[in-house]
Amino acid sequence: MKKINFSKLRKAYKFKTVLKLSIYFVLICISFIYLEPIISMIS
Amino acid sequence: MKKDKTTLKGKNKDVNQAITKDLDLGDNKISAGTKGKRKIKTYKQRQNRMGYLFMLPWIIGFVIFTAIPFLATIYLSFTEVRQTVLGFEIKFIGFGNYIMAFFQNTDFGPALLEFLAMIIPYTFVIIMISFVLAYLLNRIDFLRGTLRTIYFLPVIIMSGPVMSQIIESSSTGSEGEAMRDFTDIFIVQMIESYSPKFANMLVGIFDELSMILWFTGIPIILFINGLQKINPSLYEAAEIDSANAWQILWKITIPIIKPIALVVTIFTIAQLGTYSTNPVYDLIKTATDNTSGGLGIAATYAWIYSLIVLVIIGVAFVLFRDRKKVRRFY
Repeated sequence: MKKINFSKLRKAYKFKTVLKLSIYFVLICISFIYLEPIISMIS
Repeated sequence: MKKDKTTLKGKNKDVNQAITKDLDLGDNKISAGTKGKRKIKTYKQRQNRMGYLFMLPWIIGFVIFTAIPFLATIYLSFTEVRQTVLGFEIKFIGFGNYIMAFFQNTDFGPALLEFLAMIIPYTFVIIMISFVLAYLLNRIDFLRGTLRTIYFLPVIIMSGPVMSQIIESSSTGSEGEAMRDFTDIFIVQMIESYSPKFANMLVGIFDELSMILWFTGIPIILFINGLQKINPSLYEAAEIDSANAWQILWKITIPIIKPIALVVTIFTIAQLGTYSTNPVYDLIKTATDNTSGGLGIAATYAWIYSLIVLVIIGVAFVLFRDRKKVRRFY
């Protein structure tokens, strides 16, 4: 039976986490562009 | 026995009469719609009638406020309308307004070209950005609601007077500085040396990016709706077949999302077409306010403009339509 390569799995998990974080980063950055006119209006 | 037989016969007669009466009734029911009698409607017809009844207020409103003015503009585009003390003076002049719009007026042609130069890149950018954002928003769980609300916020604000103030502030703000900032970038300078027009268009898009992003509210919602409807088992099957994310995107997601992209494109073109920053829209408004023959010219502008928008929508339809492969057996 083939052994599970845990280091590979951990790497894949890390990659997935970094990917999720980068998605959040992009979405939050763009949301600031959306909010920028409103914030400037308020200020 | 004989008596019994006669009574039986009599009973049979009664039964037969009753049956024939019923049949008559049945016949009446069936042939009721032929002459002056009440027509029995099927369930579907009754449902349709109820549907039309509910639609009636909208139909009346559409006929009065859209269809009649729409047809009136066709007539007005061939006339010269003057506003006098006694009312409107309408004079038929044939294609005079159209000839004037295309060959004599120096504002309409450039405004139309400016509109075309605006609508094509804007629509493309809006669709691309809204698809990417919808794709990303569909992949997250935490803060999903908050981010979706922020992306939908422009739709709520855009309809109000806040948007006009934002446009004013952006037009009177440091536009020149922003333009200079963008042209300082090395890549933009490279593109400018190759094609100044393309570079200008790119700079224009980046300069008004916040404005463009504000048009993506509803397209994002439509794309998220389309993405959520895709069966996850398709992705699983593709992954089992060792397809990578790029292949899955092009072979599964985009073909399924294509009909929604068509709807989004039409919506975006219509939204940009009726937006106040549009140069042609401004020209039509000015012509409408002109009391000396302006209404006919405004109708002509509006008609040419509508036809051009329809052509653009037709092109979008051809690009995004679902081409079904027809198998031929021969």
